[in-house]
Amino acid sequence: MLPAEELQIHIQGCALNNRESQKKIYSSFYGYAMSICHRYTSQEEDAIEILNDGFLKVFIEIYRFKPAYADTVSSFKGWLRKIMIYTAIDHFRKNHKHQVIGELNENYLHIPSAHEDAIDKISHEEIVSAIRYLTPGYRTVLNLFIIEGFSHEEIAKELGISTGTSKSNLAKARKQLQKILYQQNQTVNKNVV
Amino acid sequence: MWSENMDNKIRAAAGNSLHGPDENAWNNMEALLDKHLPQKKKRRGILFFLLLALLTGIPGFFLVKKLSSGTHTTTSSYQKTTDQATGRNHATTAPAPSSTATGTDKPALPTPVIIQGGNATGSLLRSRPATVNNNATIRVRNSSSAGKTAIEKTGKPGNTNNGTVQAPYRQPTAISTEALHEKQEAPPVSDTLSVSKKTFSDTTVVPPAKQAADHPVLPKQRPQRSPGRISLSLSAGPDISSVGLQPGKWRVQYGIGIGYNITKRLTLRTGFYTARKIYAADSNSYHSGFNSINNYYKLDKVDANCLVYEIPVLLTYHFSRKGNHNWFASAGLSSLLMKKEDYTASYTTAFGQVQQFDYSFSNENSHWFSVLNFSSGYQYHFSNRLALMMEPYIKIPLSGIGFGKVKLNSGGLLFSVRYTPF
Repeated sequence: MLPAEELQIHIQGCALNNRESQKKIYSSFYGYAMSICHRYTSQEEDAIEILNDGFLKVFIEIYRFKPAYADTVSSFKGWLRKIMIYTAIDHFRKNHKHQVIGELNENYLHIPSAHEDAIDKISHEEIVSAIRYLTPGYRTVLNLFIIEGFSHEEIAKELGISTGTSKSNLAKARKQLQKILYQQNQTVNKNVV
Repeated sequence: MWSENMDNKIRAAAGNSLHGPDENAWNNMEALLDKHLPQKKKRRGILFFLLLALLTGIPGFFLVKKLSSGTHTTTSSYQKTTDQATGRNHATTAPAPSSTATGTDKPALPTPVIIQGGNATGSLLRSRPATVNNNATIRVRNSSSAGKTAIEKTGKPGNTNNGTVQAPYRQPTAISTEALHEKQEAPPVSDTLSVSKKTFSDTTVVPPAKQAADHPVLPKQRPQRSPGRISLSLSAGPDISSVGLQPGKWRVQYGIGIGYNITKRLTLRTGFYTARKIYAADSNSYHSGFNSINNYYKLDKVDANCLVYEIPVLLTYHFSRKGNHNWFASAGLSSLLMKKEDYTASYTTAFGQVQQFDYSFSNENSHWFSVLNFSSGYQYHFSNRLALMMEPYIKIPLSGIGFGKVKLNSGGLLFSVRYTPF
């Protein structure tokens, strides 16, 4: 991650459409931005598309960026994060709007919910991977509510759904996630054995 | 059952960053940037050559025009030429008259004026005086009332060597040149002294006129050189810039200039000037760069300190000169090259705190022919070569200037020392 002084210089360079500065910021925050985009789509290509669209918005609007507090890097990360989230939402609305109210994947219908103890043993990578397996509608609501901290009213406004639908999707998303994690846990145990 | 612990674990998992990009990832991003945020091609070179062509083309045009006509100057050395119409060789030298005519002699003839390079019609009427040896000036005027052409000559007295014109004189003197005697035998020339094209080639011998005997004595006149074409100047003066009604700080503008006299009244000027522009502007004046739509930060003002190079192209009109001074007025366009831009942007946060951010740019903005330049002034001539100019001016931008694209107005007073070497 870039130090604050260097980041400030490159932000000024990006405001002037300098390619070197844009490449520097892109490379430095690629991993952070991709970790956000990965959670909103199951396909790698879609994640890259969301990421690049998000960075394009960043470079177009970067001259408006002003640090909200003294830590320039944290301020920029927060600003970048917000842009990536809204880009992911735009991507969802463009491609999966009809899947806001989705059904549970039938493969997971008969899998009992995972116990809490088992969940503790699951790694972060497995949790993120499991989130990616959710249906698009559930995945988006879960991301926005649990990870991004949106309220149901805000989620309803962004996705163009009702508050009740948002709450319903969240409940279903949690249930589906539990089942996926259980499935993954069972698969790991079998491999170990 | 879902618990808060599960939410925390999900949040923790989402906080992990992934690895950095490969080269292919940046290539795709760069292609996207080239499509939506193309980089501007610097057209500075093209505009520079256009300006150079303008500055060299106009004087070059007039120079070529002057050389191609070749009929308005008198050579300082006399040459033997051939009269194509008569087939005679006329000596074109005009020795000084050696005797004084009396009343009983034939009408004395003044020294003929040998003018080389007569125009196609043979008319010797011209608007500019011809120049011969020893700073003598020859004017040919047409006395329409008498129907004759009189020849006025001025010059330093006592010039008696060949090829010079003797002046002043009271009475016409006899001409001893062979050519002149031959000419006396010829039929008199018509009133306007216009000779048919067949008679004159490139050398014209002006026949003596009867009125030459009554030619008045001309007072001594200082020889006048034709005004020089190209002038150089050194300039300096106070300059101030402002955005809107908020004035900036006075600073000194200085530079060098070059001018070309297109006509007696019109001069084309350009040059290279530098000035430091210090000004402040509020958020309403900025249309890009510093504006913020973030509700947390509100732009209050921006303090600017910019080093600017200016290249003006001005057309100057000189009013009638009275004695050693004259007034003039100029208008044109200036180009601004922002050499260095330093900005301090002041913001007020939602909590009422003031925060400042510094920005600095070098050679990032150029504004070609983007500033209207008006001036008028007074010029005092120490001599034909040296003059002092005092020139108040205003400059109004046609587009936004600098990183913030502000309407930067300038004004000031420029003092110049102008020298005309040739």
